[in-house]
Amino acid sequence: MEFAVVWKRFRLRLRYLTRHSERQQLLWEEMDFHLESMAQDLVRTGMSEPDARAAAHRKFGNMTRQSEEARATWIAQWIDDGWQDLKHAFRGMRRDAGFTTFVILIAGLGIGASSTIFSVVNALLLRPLPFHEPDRLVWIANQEWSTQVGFFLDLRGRNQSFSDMAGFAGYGAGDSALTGTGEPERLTRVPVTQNFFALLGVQPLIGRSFTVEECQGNSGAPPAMLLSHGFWQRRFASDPAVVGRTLTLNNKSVLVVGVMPASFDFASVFAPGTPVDAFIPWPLTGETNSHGNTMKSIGRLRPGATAEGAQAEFTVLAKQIGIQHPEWNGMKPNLAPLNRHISGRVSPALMVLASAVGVLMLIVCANLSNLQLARLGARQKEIAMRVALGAGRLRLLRQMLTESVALACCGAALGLLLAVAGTRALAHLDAFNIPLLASVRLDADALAFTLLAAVLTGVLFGLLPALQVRSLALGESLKDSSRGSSGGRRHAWVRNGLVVSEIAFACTLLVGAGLLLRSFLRVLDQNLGFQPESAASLRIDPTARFSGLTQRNIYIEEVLQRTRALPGVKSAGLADVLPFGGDRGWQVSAKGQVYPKDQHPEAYIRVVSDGYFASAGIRLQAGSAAARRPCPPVAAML
Amino acid sequence: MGTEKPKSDLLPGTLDMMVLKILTRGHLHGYAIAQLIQQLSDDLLRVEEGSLYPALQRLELNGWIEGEWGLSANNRRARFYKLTADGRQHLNAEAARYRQVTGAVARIMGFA
Repeated sequence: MEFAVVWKRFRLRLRYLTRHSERQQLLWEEMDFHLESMAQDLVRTGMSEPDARAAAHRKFGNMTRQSEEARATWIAQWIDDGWQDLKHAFRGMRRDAGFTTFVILIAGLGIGASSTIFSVVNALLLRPLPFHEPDRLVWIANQEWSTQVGFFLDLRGRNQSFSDMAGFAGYGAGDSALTGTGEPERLTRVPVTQNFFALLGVQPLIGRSFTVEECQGNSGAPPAMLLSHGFWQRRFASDPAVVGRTLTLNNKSVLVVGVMPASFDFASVFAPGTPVDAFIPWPLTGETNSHGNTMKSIGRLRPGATAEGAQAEFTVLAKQIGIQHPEWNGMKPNLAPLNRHISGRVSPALMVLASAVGVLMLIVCANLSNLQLARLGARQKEIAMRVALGAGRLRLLRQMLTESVALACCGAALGLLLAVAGTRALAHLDAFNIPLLASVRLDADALAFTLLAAVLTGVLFGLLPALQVRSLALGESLKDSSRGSSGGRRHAWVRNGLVVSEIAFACTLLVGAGLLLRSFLRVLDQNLGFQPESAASLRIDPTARFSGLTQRNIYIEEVLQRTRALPGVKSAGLADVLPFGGDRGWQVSAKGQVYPKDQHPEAYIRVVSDGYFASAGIRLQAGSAAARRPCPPVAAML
Repeated sequence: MGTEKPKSDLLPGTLDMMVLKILTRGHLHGYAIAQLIQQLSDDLLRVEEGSLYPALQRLELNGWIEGEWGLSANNRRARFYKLTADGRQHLNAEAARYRQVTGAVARIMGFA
């Protein structure tokens, strides 16, 4: 019953709307009849025909207005007015092409910048991580480093906070060499625990995840491997038949058991800046336990558990386990919600960037306001005419706002183009160590934001001029304006205010940008301790090809000699790790000295050959460079 | 702007109710409705045309009256309105409400 009534009314309204001009004509006719009848009644009372007609008209009032008021009940009048304003606005835009171009350009640049930054903020801070129930994922670090396998297993077994814990082990970028099919290539493989994908709630796109046997590392079959979506696309042209094939990695056979989906981008979440090609099982055994601190762990909270509670529990548990297993490395648990661990580091920088763009938008608005005001001056007569013809204050205000919002929306269209280009460029910045950057794109959220930005910009830059319209129109009216009237003075005051705020905003931005740039330059000026300008690096892996130490040394010697013989090469040397590349530390002890646990000195040790210091441009503080083999143990402090 | 503005000091909705009541007499055009209201109230109430036509539109949109074109006594095309079943129901409900309100006002003023 209720629904039927609503539906009937809706249909009626729709019919009125769609046949709107016909309805209007009929209404007019209806009112005309009313007028006529009134006049005839007056004639009957003895009035002359023209007098009666005039009297009837007087009594009826303004027919146009009456019809408008009657019409307002069936059509939302503002739609009508809005459409009229819009048409008018576009006509005006065509007339002032220069003004329009400038406004669209300025608004477009501003909105483009804001949309791009919004997309970044959205991808890094607002959008949930691409996992199942990401709020319940917690990053479990050992202070800031990795955890030993034994500790991981014990913590997983004893804790009450997590329904499950998984992890991945440290890996080296490009540590595996793919040979045998096509061009040889260096791959990066991440060892993960068997439940890693299940814990994150990610399923392989094709094939399957690792089995328990595969993860114990003792099945007779070739080790299993899962491909990342990017690598699968690039190397195997998205061929599903690759699952089940055997590939040769580091001269050993591995079996491809599956391909991960595109939505699972391990690198962009956990290892920004390094492409990850494949995943292999990480066995949790006594052998891997002996490797030391290797694992980065993630836990999934039980319903109702919190990261803070888990932190407290783990602190206690780690102490107990440490007492039971003094032979293991210590563990100081440091838990944080996964999303905070991932984007926490960049969020202050993003906030600075977002604020800067906000200030930029304010400048844009002030600028556009000023332009609009200047244009209003030229349109005084038009406005005065409108007021004289009966345009109300609200109607004028709305018309001005419609104009500015329409302009801002045109600017937003340009801004969207810029934002598309901007987000593309940002998403492909592989060199930056910023998580989730690859997932930056212009999505529905960003589109909604752009629309909102356009409307807000339009209202913000149109409001002040629109409020000025009235004083402009009244003071100066149709006759050519005389200067110095109160309206004119107020007008000037507003414009001065705009210019002042514009300059103030610009100064804020400039000072901020200047300070940031200065800090950046100082970072660049930092003495790195080596000179990367004229150095080049090349990676070789002789271990895979030569089994014997002698053979390997002959090969290395040959490589160095041939490199030095190349024209243009001044010196050449070898090192196991490049400067800033990898943080492998070893415990070192003075001969015969026993250190208490946790206070064992650690050193970052680099194994280097002769010629390395010269090639890298490292100056020795004291002592002499390593001589050629046979090397006595020499420590070079950097 | 442009929506209902009270044109008189009558209680809101009174005009709509009166128009519906007048239409219980049969098919009438706008002018006749205005005339009848004036006559029946002994010239006390004058319906302004600026209120009448929006009211008619409103009533028709709500499905309480239906308008159709016909010929007037002096052979001119005019729009005649008639009450629908829904309209009759609405009229009864409105009349009951109105009686309550005016009764309450009368009691306060000590008329009753």
